[in-house]
Amino acid sequence: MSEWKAFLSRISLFPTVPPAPPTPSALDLYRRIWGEPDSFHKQPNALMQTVVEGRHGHLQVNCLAQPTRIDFNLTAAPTQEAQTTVALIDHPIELRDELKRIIGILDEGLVSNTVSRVALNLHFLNLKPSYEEANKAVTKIIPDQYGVTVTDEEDFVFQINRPHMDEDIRDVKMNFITRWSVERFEVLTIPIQIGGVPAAAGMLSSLKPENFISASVLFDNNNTPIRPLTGKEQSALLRKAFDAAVEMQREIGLSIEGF
Amino acid sequence: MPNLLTNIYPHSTVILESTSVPREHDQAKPGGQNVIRNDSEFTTAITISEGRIFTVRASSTDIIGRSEQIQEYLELGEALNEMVGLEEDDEWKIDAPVYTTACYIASELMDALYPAPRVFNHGPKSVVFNWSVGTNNLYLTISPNRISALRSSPERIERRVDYSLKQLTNPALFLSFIESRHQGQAFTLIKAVKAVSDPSEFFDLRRHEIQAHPGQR
Repeated sequence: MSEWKAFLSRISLFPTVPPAPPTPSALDLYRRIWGEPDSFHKQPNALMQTVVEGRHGHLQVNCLAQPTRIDFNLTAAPTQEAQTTVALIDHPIELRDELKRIIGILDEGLVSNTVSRVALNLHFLNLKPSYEEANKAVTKIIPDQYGVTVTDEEDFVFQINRPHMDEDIRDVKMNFITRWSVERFEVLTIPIQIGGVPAAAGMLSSLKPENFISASVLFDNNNTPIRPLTGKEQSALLRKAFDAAVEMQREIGLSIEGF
Repeated sequence: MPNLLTNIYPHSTVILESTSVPREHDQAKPGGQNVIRNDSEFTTAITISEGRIFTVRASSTDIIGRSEQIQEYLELGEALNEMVGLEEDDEWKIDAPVYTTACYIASELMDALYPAPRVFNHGPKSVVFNWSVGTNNLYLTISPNRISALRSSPERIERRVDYSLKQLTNPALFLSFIESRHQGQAFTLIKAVKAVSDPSEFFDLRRHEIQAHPGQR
């Protein structure tokens, strides 16, 4: 069984420059994909993000919208156990199927001709107790051709892009980005009373964050914006982005179930 | 988080459960967690009985004060909101299509970590974003279909460029061509074109004084 697990995945849509037909609201988009949300927060300030979120199976899902981008984020849903660590997705097949389902909905024309760029992110982590072990885990999955060697260094980041012109959609260039890194997560748990009242200031000052170190690999596959894309073009590009991420994770030996 | 790991962006909202009705039991409800993901660099999670904040730490330092910049853009957004909401005969009133385009451009600028501009209008049909360094100014006039950039010194208009918005796939890109130098002062806005799709990405922003050299433009 692979030590690597999915941390988050994201499908992003980048609206075209105005004037253009308006994209549906974040709430409408969420409803079309996941039904009724658990919460909805519309920002009065147009430059800030509108947030709609809820739970779908074993996934926590949300739609964030602002003038220049719309993100559909999928992460691990809360479990019965208290979460004192970085939550990872234990149901990768469900994640895979959900990403494919969203791409299928876009194919039907959810935001046709109002989007000029699409992106698919897949982020995997392998939690380790030390930088040395995290470095070892991450360098193990970097192809030998790059000759990357680290031992006890901190804040390691290595990124490549393998861009090429799309074969099927005219003038569209695709970026296929892989980023290997070692990351330190800080998790701070804050007691909140029933009704959302925060704990007293004195208690907050005594809180101490927990730290987690992780090997990390991120796939960020997207197209460069050229013109408004039809729903068919959006879904075709996202399928290629997804397939390329799946192929790359196999190539470097992540061996994620279902991918 | 997966990218540079240098910026921790405080999210402007914390979302609690959508209901304000007290729960049947006083105990925390497992699974009652809401997660906000502003981007991959900052995540806030709140349960009924506890909140949890994830951040990603790196040892490098921010290049600019991000929180101050976000606050400035918040104020810009509020100003645009107020302008579109004014009565028709108000001299600060802007039309809805102007507002939509201005918000889009402002959001691009914010995402690209440009300094927040000042804003004023030329009647209801356009808004102007303005940056100044010393006596030099950069004006970005935004209308529903066109965007024009003009840089000026006290002596003259040094450069002007106009674009139809239909021709632009990314309006922030052309700012990288706008540079103003005069009498030892520089105003430079540089954006690294992004291949990655993450909201924040590597950038190079310089706003500084330089020495003018003879013959230099």
